[in-house]
Amino acid sequence: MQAGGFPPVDGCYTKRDRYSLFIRMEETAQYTALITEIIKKQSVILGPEIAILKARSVSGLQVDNDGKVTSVGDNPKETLQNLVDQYVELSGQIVKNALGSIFAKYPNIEINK
Amino acid sequence: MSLDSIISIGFYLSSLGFLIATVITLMARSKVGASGLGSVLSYLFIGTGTFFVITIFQGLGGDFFGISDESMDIWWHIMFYLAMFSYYFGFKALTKLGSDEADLMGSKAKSWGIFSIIVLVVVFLIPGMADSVVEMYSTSILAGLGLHHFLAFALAGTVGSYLMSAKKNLGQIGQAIANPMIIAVLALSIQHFWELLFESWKIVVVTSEVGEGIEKIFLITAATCVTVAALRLKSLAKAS
Repeated sequence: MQAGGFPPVDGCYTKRDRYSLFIRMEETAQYTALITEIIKKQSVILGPEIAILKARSVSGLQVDNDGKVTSVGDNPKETLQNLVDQYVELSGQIVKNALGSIFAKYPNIEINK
Repeated sequence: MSLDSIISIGFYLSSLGFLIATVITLMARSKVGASGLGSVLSYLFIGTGTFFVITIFQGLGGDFFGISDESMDIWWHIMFYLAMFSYYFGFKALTKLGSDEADLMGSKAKSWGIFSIIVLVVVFLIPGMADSVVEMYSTSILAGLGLHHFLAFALAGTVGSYLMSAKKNLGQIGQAIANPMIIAVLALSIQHFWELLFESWKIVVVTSEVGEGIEKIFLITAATCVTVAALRLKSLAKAS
């Protein structure tokens, strides 16, 4: 077991590669948490059926029946942007009212609202 | 076909239209589930259900309740205000979706529903007993000026302003509800304007039957539009 619980890798990875991979995993985890929160918030506003169905229409995004994100695809930033665009198209101003407090918790993540 | 038959068909169509609108609104409410939008649909269900009850009340008529046509007019207006207040709360909650204010209004939908049922039961029980009180108003100058119609206009205007806001700011959901509901509220307002002209101000001189018959056109239009709004919302869950 390597430091920080990092998964074992073969000898080809340099320290820099491992650091990049770690950063990428951290980033994916953050996007997953953020998108899950957005879907939950939209479920409270629009109802779970509409919120989850809308999320599932976003390419690369996989969501279970409880609204929890299981995959954000290869480009989580694009997935997040597409999801927000979908919700804005559906409910306009409501999204802007509702998502501000959620994005405040993730200062490293930015989208075009 | 006689005028009476046409008016009867108009009555049954408007009553059936509001019954269908009520059922579809309830189905849309079940589909959306417990949520802010679900609360909006609860208010829409209460309001539309009240309009259906109004058609039953009018169908039973003054003879059933032992009151004059003028008193009937006042009683159904009271139920109309109840329906329009339901729409007011619902569309206000719609424009505030996602805010604390909308959550608060949503939590009160059930209490409003219970209050509405109580008011409707009372309206069906007391007209005969309270006829003298109601006639004090219905024979007054205020009734002659059409105060009860102007109250209806004020409520319809307020509801309409929230609908315009929803249409402008709330994307597909706002447009799904607002477009047909604006026509519904407009049709109901024109119905009151027509009543103002032929019942209160007596500017338009037609028989009572013709006047009531023309009202049914506006009621059928309103019922159809509410049905369309509920169907559109229900289909959003599928179209998503």
